[in-house]
Amino acid sequence: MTYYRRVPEFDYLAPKSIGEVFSLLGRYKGDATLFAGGTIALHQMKERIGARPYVIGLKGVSGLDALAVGKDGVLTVGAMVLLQRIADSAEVQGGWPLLATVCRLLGTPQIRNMGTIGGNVAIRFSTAETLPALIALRAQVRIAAAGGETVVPVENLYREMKSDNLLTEFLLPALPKGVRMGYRKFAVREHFDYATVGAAVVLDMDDGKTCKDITIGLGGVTLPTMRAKGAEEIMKGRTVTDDIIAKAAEAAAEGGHMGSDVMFSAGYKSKVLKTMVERAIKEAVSD
Amino acid sequence: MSGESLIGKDIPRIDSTDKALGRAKYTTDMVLPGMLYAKVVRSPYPHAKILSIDTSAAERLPGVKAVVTGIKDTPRGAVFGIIPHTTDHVLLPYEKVRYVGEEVAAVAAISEDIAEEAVDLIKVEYEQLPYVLHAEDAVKEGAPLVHDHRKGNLAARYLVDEGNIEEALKNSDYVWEKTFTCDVASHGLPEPFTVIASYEPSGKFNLWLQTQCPFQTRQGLGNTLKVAPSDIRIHSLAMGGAHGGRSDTPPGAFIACLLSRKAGRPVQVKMTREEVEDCMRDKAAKVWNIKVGFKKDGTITGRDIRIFLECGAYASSAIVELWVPLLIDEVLWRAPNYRYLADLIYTNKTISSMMRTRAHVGPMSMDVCFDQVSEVLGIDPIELRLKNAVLPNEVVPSKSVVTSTGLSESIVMAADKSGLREKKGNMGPNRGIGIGSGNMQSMFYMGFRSGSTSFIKFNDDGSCTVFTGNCDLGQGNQTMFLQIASEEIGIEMKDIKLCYGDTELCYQDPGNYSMSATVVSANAVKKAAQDAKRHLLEIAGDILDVSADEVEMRGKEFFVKRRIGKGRGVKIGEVCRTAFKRGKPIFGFGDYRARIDYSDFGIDIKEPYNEKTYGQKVTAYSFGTTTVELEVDPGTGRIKVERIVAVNDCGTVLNPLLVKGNMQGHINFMLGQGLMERNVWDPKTGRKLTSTFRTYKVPTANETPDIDIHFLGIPDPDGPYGAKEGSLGFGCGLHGAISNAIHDATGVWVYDVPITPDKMLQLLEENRKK
Amino acid sequence: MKHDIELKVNGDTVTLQVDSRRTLLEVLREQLGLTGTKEMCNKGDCGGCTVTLDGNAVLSCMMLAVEANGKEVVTIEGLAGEGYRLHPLQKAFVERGAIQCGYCSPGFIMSAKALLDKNPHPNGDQIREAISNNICRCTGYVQIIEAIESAALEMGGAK
Repeated sequence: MTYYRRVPEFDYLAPKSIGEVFSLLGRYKGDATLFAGGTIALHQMKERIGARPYVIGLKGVSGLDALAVGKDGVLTVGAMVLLQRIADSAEVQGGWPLLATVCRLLGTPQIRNMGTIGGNVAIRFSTAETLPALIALRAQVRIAAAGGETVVPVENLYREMKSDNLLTEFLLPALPKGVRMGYRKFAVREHFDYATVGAAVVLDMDDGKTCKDITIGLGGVTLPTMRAKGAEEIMKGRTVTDDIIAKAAEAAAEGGHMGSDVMFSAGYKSKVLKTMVERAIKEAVSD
Repeated sequence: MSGESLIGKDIPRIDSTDKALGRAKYTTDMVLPGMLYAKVVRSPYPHAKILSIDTSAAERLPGVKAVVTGIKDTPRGAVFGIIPHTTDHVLLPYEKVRYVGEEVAAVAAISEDIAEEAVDLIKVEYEQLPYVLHAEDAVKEGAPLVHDHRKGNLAARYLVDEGNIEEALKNSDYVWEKTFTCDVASHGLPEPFTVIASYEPSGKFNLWLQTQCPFQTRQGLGNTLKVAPSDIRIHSLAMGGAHGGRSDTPPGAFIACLLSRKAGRPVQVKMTREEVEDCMRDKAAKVWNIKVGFKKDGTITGRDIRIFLECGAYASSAIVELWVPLLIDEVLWRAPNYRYLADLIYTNKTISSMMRTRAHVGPMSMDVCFDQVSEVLGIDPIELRLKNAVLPNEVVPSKSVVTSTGLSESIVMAADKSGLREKKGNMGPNRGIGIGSGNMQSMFYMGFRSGSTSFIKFNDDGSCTVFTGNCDLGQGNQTMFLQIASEEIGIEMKDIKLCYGDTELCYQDPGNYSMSATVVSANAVKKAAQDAKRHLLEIAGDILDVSADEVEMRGKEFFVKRRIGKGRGVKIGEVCRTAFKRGKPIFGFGDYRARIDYSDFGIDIKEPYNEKTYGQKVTAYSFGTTTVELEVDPGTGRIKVERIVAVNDCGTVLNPLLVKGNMQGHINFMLGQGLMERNVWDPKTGRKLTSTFRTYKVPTANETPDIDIHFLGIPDPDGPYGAKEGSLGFGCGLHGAISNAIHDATGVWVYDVPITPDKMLQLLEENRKK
Repeated sequence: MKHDIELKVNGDTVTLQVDSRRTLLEVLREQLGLTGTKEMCNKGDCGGCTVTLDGNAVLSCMMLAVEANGKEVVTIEGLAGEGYRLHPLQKAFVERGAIQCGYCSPGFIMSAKALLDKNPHPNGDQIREAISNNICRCTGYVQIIEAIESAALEMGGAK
């Protein structure tokens, strides 16, 4: 057994366009890996996990770094947009504050200055921050493949994305007026650790009493259970009370599947997830 | 002495400018001409026989210059251990490996890339053996034996038995009993372990490595390499953290020496962060059972302590874990009848060793005891502590004398400054306050190695250089030595240079071992400075034609006392040059040995190591008390510490700026180990799963509470200017304070650290069910 | 694979050849001899290797040198003025006792510099957030936070 300090040997390739990315992927087949911000990929390469002889750097690829609102009010966030840029964006803060919040709370300044939203989502490493928020915001994601591209709801990404696909951008619809949001995450060191579990909520209320519509994204759970549809159904059309929030939170925690990790058991994480959902909904209610 | 005293002044560390500039040289920054880069092959198994090692493919790889294995290269019979009883560690084993990550072979190559490639070509054949990871399993009948000749995996046992504890407990009005536990903790050292060994044609070794104790490291290397210790020269550089984790003789240094001798070139061994965590040193997990007898009036009649400590694979330096909890417990609270029985248990894990916070579970148990018993006996918890707190000049069970203590004063002050009495029970839902006391030894008796010798040489321009075998881990020892030399001699700190931690140029020193730097090493520097000053005054007197005691130094000049302001003086440079001309350059010599003769206290043990291991092992004990205010999140179990009041009885405070910083650091260490830092081993592989800063959760700046620091300033009779160890003792009761604060907040008692959120939530749920 | 890259390091333009696999940290320390930037964990967890890249704090151990091509890097060695005239942050770290073993200090100072360059008047929470990637085992962070506060005041006062 050896503890390696060095990154294993590879060739770094720097395509300029999405087309070039696919021609490189086609040429090197399984021998190439995509490299976005690099904070997670380099970590794994140093541990000799998934190391490949060719690394395709995406930093120079044009068309992956848009951050703009279209005429239709849809926010486009390119896959290579840095997390810090999203957190700092006045447009995101104004129209999709939940996304700005989760990006601001993700990792550390260094990680946010290096990490991209696409990398964060695609590598499925720290799914407890960006992905729950994107789900709650009903984001769509554009996936490019060698033969073309598709747009799918972000919550289906885990089914739709193939290993030779490239996630190119997220599309966030404009939110109804007066919509409320909440996000809570649990981490031992809140400003350092990636969230163990988290909950993102987008809530639309009638007269400040009844839940007209709600989406709840869960973090720290398996990808297929990240949208807490059961909990959403409990809330929809009901007068929002502490009791109903507790019931929804319970349903969300039951529906979110998770395993134990080095630090915490699945049982504990489930209890904390319930607390986070409850608090995120309450935060949205008072938003 | 002329001018204002430096003692008690805020003086920035003298080495911090270089560090702020990025100019300070650490071992990891060093490159020697022709240096080779080594990589170590490590055991993937927690327990296995080494059957064979095939290094041929690695040796054929271009760029590889040397390969060593235990089978071929380890001198037989050369086993490391800090005391004879526990020399059980072959630094590059040839028969068996006993934990995942243990060294098996190593390669030195012209680049690190090649070395990493080469180790993958070494084929080791093992025969896997059953293994045991936890002490409670290791003591069971039929458990795998980590060392075949140590039945029951008992590495060592230590007993102090005074008075009649059985009788005392039987006759007590109330007996309190509890079992406390704590996990294995890690140092989390910033600078990865690195050593450069350079074997010289003369047969000598030059070594650059991070060590707290250059002379002890040299001794261990000499023993294991079977060369004279004086043929090994240890150089000290800036060091990125130690915290106890660099106290002994690391296998990496031994391997670097073997490789360098074989290759005939300097060799660097640099570990990764994970490698350091898995393969270097940890702090032992403990099970601490304690019975305390009380009279109705709250007086303790006796304590019966039974502890088990996880040794890890070797007792080589883990042995200290047996003694230190005693040194803490027996000097805090009086116990006329006392039994302390400690077992050190082998396991197939990383080796346990020294750590700055190693004994916290002991003081924690007593602070929980006082809070619980105060309710039973109807006595105020602070009064109960004060009734039992050890007082100055008391003789404790192992026949040591506590020559100074402000324990009682620290309890009163901490309670007062924190508003403990008003706040307790009144802080609102899930918020609470608690108090805890601790102590620590300043120096530890180690035979002739417990003394320090320092000397000072004066230069012809009137400046001087202090030589000490001690080194600096960042606490500020260098600054302390210069401050003391300046105070005694009367020249400014900027005119004093320092040569430290070089085993060739300096005399023997215990190193930063058992907090000995202040009382032992600094006392030696002080005496050397006094000696040098005496010589300066003599020569100046000669020049001025008066006797030395008629001379006074003002600034850099010497005057005849009665003619100050009138006659001419003689400048220090002239004094030094005159001394050179006479063939007697100005020189100071100072030696400090701990006092071991305490016959004036009716103690007739003159050697602390007799067969009952009784006697004065410690020169000065520091004490102190902390209070903690915290909030428990009932939905997650997470604990947020908001405020800490710390009262430090460290004697005279030499340099408050530095002592405060060290105290804040210690609180940070204690908070991490108390609340977040948990080590986990995979039961299926025996491998540690918490080797990174991501998984081993040390605190960051965001977990730092408000800290309010106070000093008692009670001088110690032996410490320099009355100073004692100032960084650790005050805070060793912090876990007791946390536990008591959690009880105040939630009604739940905690007996196990770290109190991670999941454990806390479970306790809260159990409590709600009640 | 070798790449010719050009970096601006501490104000100087340097051209050098780097291997694909080399991190920015390795290039700074081993090829340029700038050993003030420290390797602690080498996995992005400790902040010891923090430098600024076009003004932003980044982890040089988690960045391929080839991807720094054309960018401006400032390391701890680039802060002081002529004759080792300390940057206000360096001076405050020294005077406030914020440096003990000193191994993590360059990383902290660079994180703090990136903060103060963008936000000259940070509050306590913003300071703690800015150094949240930096691990120190000696100081307990108190004097580090005080030093950054004090440097911010001094730098603000100089304006």
